[in-house]
Amino acid sequence: MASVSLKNIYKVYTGGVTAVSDFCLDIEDKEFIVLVGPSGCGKSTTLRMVAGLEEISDGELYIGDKLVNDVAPKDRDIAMVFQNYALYPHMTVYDNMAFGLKLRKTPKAQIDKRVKEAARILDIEHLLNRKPKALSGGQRQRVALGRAIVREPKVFLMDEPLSNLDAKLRVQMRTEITKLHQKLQTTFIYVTHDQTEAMTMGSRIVVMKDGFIQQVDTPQNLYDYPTNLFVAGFIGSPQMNFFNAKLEKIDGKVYATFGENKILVPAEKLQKFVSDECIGKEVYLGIRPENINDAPEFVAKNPDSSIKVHVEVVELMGSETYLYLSTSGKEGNIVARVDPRSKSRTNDDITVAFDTSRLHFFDRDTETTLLTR
Amino acid sequence: MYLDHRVLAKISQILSQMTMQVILFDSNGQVLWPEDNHKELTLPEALLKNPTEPLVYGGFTLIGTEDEQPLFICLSGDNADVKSCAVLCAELINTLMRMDMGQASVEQSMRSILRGEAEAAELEAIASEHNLPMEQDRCVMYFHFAELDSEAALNILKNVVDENSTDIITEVGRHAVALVKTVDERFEFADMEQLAAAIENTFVSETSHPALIGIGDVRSKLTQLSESYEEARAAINVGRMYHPKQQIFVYRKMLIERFLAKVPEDTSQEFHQMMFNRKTARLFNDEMIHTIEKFFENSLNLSETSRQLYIHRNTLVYRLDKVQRIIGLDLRAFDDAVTFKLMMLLGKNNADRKGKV
Repeated sequence: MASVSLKNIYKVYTGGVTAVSDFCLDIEDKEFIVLVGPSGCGKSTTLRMVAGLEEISDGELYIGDKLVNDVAPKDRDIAMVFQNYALYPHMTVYDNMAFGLKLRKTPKAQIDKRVKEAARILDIEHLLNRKPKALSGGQRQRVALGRAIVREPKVFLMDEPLSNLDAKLRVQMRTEITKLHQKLQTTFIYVTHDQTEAMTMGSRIVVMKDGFIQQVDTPQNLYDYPTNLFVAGFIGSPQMNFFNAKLEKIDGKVYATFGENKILVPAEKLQKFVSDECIGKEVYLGIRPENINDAPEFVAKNPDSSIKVHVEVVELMGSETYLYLSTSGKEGNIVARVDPRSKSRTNDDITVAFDTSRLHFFDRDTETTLLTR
Repeated sequence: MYLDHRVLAKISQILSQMTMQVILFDSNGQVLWPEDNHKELTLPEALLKNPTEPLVYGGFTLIGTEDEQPLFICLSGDNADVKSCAVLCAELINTLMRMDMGQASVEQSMRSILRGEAEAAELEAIASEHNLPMEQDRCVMYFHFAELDSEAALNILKNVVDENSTDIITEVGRHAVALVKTVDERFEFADMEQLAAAIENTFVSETSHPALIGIGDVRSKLTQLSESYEEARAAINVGRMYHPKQQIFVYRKMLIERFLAKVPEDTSQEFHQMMFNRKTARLFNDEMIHTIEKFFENSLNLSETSRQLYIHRNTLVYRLDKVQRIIGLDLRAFDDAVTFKLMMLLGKNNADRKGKV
């Protein structure tokens, strides 16, 4: 078990392409940290630098107290689980799990003990004599995890380990990996492009874009307090609705106006603005789909945060309903996640109200949040 | 004749005892020892004509071994003592190589078979000496390591071979190893890619040096095995030209690439530029090319591609519509996708990318 510390890490490829810039992160011992971001954001490159599979162009990498920039991967005391969990087809599950230890000349008795213990943790003891062909996708993935566990590493590195599985198995394995982390009590660094995986698994999440860290925080904080427009849009599904709005003072009250709509910004929210100078400025107004409500009682109670909309599409999801709405001052649709018993139907003209305690505001130029926590 | 690393180690041991400067190189002028010398030497014509006769050249004494493709020794100095020393060295190397050939192991014999160095007449003798069936389904997996010597690679690969199988692993170059895999009902050709991927994972995690892996087709006769070996090498040579990020190349899956590699470079460029030119440069930026490549990787599946790229399905549709508007090809349609893919691959068909393992 060990902490991992990345200090001002850069990765610059020959030809000058910078994949990772000024990456600073302290990962605590036993933490489950998830690196998430769109394709090409530098998350896998960062993980590969920790693994020693990519050279670090600049900066310092510590595993525990040891500077490991120039330490060979096999001596870093890490184990990596790849996206492509290839197993040796002619070896049994037992031999596949034991293979890495055999290469390192680990005594047979110790190999046996570790393989059986890992199999017990992963609940694959009954599969030890089977060949990979006789396993399902999920079982194969467990064997791949087992191969990493037997090495008893200080840090587990996982590079999109679930992306080759079908949707149902992905959900199942997500839980399995979380349980595994709880059982092993070891540091996990996990890379994914899937924000649902990130939100459900990580104790902290690092959101990356274009090689830069955008925000490092707990899943709940990322959701509630996104530091910029990118994080706000990236985390959450369906994603946050954004409006090009203006903060205007009318009769002593502050409204966010867009098109013919105006939303009252409550006093509690105003107190959280980083500066009074925000008033009068063009901003991005953000609100998550679940904070837009079409229930008549809610609309009646919140006349100052209500807007008139046209229902374009209604999607019944069973436990909830998505309304795709259009309104003045907004290009494209607004998505509202409402109660499944909602009476709204396609082509209706209705009124919805915003939960103004959940409004987000971002600077139009820098795209950073205008609110403090 | 390929110099096995064990013989080279013995020769190096002798040469390292000498107090004068010594270089050992092959008939292509490539330095074999000292190992840190990566120069390529140009051999004097007179030496190539008569290798076993010591030649004094620019303050150095050069001599070759008795082989058809001799090894050469270069000693600093040009007096009679240096000359005697050179002759002695050459004779010692001749003796070591003869001893090595005399007691050829199954690995060494297999190497000769793969490299086409064994005459057809010799094959039966080799087969009977090492109990190698003349008729058996086998295929060759070729490993090329850019930054790892074959001895280190062999140490790992030996652990991969099934002890109960008739598979053979042999060193075929300073950075290359071949695995001759028996294909039967226990191990089918379809397993080869899986095996290659597992080996590739092992090399990355154990050495951090990735391997390029080529897989040749199955041959049922020992006399044809060198063809599978050549196919495995060709798969890497052609494959890395078109798929530089890939590590594993299967010869039988690379029909289009092998065909395109034969299209003359100027014709390739002529057609490639019909689609990728100054007018379309803005359209086909890195992001768009990445999007299209992912779309093809996912067999033209819009939902899976947008999920993997973390973009909305409509964004993907918008991008594909844009391509259709500008170049007239609807990449969602199979025929148009094939046309586009071919034009894209043709752009990779240039001399700079060609390399040989």
